[in-house]
Amino acid sequence: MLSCADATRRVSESLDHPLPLRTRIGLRLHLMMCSACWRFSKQIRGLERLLRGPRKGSEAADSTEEDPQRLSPSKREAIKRALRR
Amino acid sequence: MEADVGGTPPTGAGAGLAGDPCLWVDEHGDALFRYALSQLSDRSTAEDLVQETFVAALEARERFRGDSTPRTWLISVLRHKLVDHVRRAGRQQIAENPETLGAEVEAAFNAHGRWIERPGRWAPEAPAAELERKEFQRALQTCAQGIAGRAGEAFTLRVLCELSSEEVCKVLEVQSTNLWVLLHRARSKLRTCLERTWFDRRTKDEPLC
Repeated sequence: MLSCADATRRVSESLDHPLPLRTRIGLRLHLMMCSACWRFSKQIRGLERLLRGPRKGSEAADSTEEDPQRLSPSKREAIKRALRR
Repeated sequence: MEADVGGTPPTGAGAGLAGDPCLWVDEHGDALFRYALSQLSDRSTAEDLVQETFVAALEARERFRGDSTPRTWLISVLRHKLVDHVRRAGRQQIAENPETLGAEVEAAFNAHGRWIERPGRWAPEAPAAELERKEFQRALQTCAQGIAGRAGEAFTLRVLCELSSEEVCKVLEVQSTNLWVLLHRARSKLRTCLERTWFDRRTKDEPLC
């Protein structure tokens, strides 16, 4: 039986590469029976989605507001000017 | 939002740097900026290094061979600049003892691999109200930026810069198995950080009925 330490490691790995079938089945069985690892899995997936999420497709929608995770519009223009030189 | 440019012919291998350099800025500027910011935490220095990176890439564009994606190539150029900058600033590289970092994640489990402190219930998963959602995003970004050392760098490249695991391996020059360990540490730390700084605080402030 897979330990919780191994199960969480595999949950994380599944976000980076496809797990072999046998491993995937073992992990799924563990998650079905273990609420703590199930939560871990749900939570880290959710966090990654949130970190990747808001920028996609919202370029125009929030262009009025400065996003601290993006280049400022003025710097963006300055870089483009530097590249045209 | 711009209409999908379905009619544009696919650019061939390595042609990702052949077009108008200004388009690179739109396509990769934010990813480069997030990476620089995660290593420096000073916005204007981060922006300047991104600019230097684009200028250097423009001068060296014929050296881009197309054996990695344009973004990965740009990130590698930026990485050299970051290392130089940190060295010149005379600051200690944010060195993290890998054993300590590993121990911290291991500490979540006992010797039999069972949870010591089980993950808490997060309710609601993400806040619905606009103001609260912004605060939550800020807490999330603070936690993400707070993941120290190579684990943090790997996580930034993988998630915030949206590189594939293979591309992150190339940039950091690590084996994929090592990368998976780093990313697992980073995700565990991120989860714990958010549970402590956001979800715990909430349940204490306003007990659920």
